[in-house]
Amino acid sequence: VGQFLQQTINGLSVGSVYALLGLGVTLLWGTLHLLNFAHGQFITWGVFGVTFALHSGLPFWLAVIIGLVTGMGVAVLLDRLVIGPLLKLHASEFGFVVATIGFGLAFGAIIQWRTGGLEVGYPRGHLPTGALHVGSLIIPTLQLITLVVSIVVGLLLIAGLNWTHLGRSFRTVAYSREISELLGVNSRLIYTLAFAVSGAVAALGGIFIASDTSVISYGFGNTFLLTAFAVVIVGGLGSPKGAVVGGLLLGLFEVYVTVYVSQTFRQAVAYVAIIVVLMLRPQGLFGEKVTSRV
Amino acid sequence: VFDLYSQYHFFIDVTLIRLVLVISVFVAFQAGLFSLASVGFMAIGGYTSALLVTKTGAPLLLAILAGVVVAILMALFISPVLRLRGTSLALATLAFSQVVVVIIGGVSFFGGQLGINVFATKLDSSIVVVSVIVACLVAQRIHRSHYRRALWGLRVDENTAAGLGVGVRTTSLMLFLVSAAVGGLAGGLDAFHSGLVLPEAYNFDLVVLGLTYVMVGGFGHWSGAILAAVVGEVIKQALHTSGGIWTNLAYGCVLIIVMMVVPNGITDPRVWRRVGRRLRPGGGPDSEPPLPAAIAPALVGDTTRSGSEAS
Repeated sequence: VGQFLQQTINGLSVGSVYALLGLGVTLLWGTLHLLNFAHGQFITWGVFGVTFALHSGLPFWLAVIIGLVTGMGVAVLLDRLVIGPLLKLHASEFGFVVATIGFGLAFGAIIQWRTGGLEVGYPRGHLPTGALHVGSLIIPTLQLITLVVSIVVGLLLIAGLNWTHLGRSFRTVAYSREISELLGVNSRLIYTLAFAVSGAVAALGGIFIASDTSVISYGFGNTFLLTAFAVVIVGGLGSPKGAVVGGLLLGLFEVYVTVYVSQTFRQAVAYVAIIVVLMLRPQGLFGEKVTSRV
Repeated sequence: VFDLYSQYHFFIDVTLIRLVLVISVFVAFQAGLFSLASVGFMAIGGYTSALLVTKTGAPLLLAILAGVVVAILMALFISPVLRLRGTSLALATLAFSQVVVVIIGGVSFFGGQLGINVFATKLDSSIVVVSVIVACLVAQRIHRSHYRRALWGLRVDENTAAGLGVGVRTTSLMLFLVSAAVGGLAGGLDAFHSGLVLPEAYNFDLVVLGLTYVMVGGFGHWSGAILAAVVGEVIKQALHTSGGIWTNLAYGCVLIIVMMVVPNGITDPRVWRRVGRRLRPGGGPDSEPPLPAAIAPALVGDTTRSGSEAS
């Protein structure tokens, strides 16, 4: 039982980062119905922003802000350069997905060019790396902080979406862009804001992962792309609550599979989760049912 | 001179095998099935034929054929995903491709991360050429059949197509199986051409490669995707970049620009009608009857001039 409890703690630790990654993806799906394949680049650019700032000798808090702003900046660029024009052209769902794949490739290539495709050291030690001992259980401090941060960010998003004027605008735009425009909501501004928040949350998630791995490269963010998608598919597309719960669930499953089945198939958990949930319960745990319209 | 020839020869074979993959992606996309499973089927075809040759000593052609059959069976097995549409289907099929890679990389029977070595079996270029021709003939056969209009309907609006008597499920399934078969064929060829099957070879870059060429070529006719692939690969070869930084940057930009300028690709008949009208003396800039809302977006903006540049 003790071992199972320890594995559960490990699973929740892994899942807390997944929850953060999922929050950024679910926000864009919630407002735009866009599955953003460039999300990995928000993570990568954010983390590289932090690393660059730290290497220039800036204090950690300032570096984090620079990283978040970098993630935000890439996200807003995606919105302004690609999504805006495509919205004007009334592009198909197909078109948005392909264009975000293209944007992700192009921005990944820029980092690859700057780093020469090599791995770069991420200076850890700015976040505590120790562990708390409760009885026989070990709780890593970094993961505890991550868990608290992702729950706080998730709660802030839920609260913001439900109880503020801006949040209501978000939900109106998500419900129907045309109706929101009639009601005087600037839907383009809402989209840009959604991208900015998504980029910042992605960068935040990236910082926590990098503090754990201490090595980053141009493909850093993309390795978590399908995991982030799996999180929102499990939790329900567009639901912040679903992203947090889905992230924790996925983390638990990954750790249980690693321990009780095999390390090799750990990666397959996210992929199988995507397929199984899409087939059996496409709306996920907390999502809304979608019906096709003529 | 001989060295130069052999290098050139290798490049031609790689390109031809990629054309087979492109046809596999095209066949699915043509029916509005946004399937990213082709690379997964390629892995299945490659590993099946490599295993047959190394473990049982089967002849090359039989091994490649077996790869095709196993890819089709696998497609039948995962065919329930065809219930999904659009982004969900893309995601599920991408996940499928990744699961295949994880499994072949993790099970020792499949050679693990080291893959399977089939250097001993030589692949003749004529087999590659014949395979490309067969793949193109299959695509052309679909294009010339009564399915063509059904596919167009499926792509534009599935519910309307169903209302007009198109068997949505049967048609989708058939096209998915053909796509899998052609993907499996590409896998078998690739295995014996490179002499090695590796799990990491079937990565996201390969998915993007197929996707890029098919989106540029468009869904009007398979030759567009083939043309895009040949031109793209030749340019890459001329610049001496294969899968490098500039390739990804270029693919990325091309994907974005295509989605904005010619969302239906260069073989979209409307693009050419507009080009023709521009070139004809005295032809007005726009004298076309209004199009149904579902396909009208293709005409928004200055599609004409940039469309001809992209080709």
